[in-house]
Amino acid sequence: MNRDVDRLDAAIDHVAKRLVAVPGREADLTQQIIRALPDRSSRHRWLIPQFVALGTILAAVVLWTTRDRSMPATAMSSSAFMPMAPFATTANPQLLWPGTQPSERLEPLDPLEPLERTDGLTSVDFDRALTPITPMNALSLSELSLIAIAPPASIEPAAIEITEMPAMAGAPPRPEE
Amino acid sequence: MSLAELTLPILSAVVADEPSRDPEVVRLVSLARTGDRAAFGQLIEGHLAAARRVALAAVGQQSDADEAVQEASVAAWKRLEALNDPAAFRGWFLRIVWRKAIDRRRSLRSWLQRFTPSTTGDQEPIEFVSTNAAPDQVLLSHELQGAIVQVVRSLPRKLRDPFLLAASGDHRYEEIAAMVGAPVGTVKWRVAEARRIIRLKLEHLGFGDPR
Repeated sequence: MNRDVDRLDAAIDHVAKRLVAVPGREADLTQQIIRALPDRSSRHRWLIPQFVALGTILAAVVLWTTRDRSMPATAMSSSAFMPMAPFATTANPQLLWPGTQPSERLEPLDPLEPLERTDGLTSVDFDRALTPITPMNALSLSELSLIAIAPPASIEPAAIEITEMPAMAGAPPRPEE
Repeated sequence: MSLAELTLPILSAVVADEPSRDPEVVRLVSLARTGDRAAFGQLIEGHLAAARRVALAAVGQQSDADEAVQEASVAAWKRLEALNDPAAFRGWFLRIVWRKAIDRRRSLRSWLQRFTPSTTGDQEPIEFVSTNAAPDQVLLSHELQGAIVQVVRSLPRKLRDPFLLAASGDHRYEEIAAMVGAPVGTVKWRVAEARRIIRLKLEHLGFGDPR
């Protein structure tokens, strides 16, 4: 019995070994593989995207920190900013809310652009190129005449004569008998 | 000459020695990392037979196994920088081969072949490699060979994979465990369990006394 079992084990080993046996063509396969090899990439090629991203971030930071601050901001118009300006420049929290301590961060806001130009116009501004008008200081009444204004005519309403009134409001008239 | 004298038990065929740190392998790996294709060819040529047996154990067909080995070789060529220990190239390369072969086995084509009656490889007779050692073929009856092949192929993959990898005689249990992703003890148990099931089924089929 044991001899039969040994023979069966040996047969299993034999067949299993032959199931994974390969014909000897390693040389040909090696040449085939070598021909199919692609070009090797650089060792640090995978770092290129990281460097590009880092460079972009650095450039953005440099541009942001060295931007020209004298240029007026265009994101907020002067008309939209004006209602805030008087309050921001004159408001005192202690006056508005007694007992509150002013915060160190509370500072008057500077307008982003001059609210009104005081110097002379050097270029054509079609919105502001109208000729200045001399302000009227006082109203003179000497040139006025009372005759020039005619008195209003009296209004007399015409008399209303009521000839017949229905017996009942809304009732149909009675037929003649 | 008896059959037992012609074959080796699988468990004793598993390589038990530690892999030696061959300085030539380290040199070839260094050259291959610089883009030397010839060095890479020398590097894989010594392990190509074992790699093909690994792939064949996974996919079951020689053509698919060779394609898996080629894919794995290209992948190893691309990923040589990831090899931390150049002396461990063999195990690293064989693990890539195993994964590529498993991917191929799991591919859609293999999945479809399972449901295509005309291309089912499990029903085809095994294509034994023609060798000059003919006496064992004479001793092994054709019916018994076919029965063993059918029983081996009907094993669950968790048992069949380590069993066939161990049958190749190229790997230590540690290497097989690293390839299949299981502990060494589990691999040993699976190999023994596969053998037990095969023998049990053969005895049920009436092959208890092979002649």
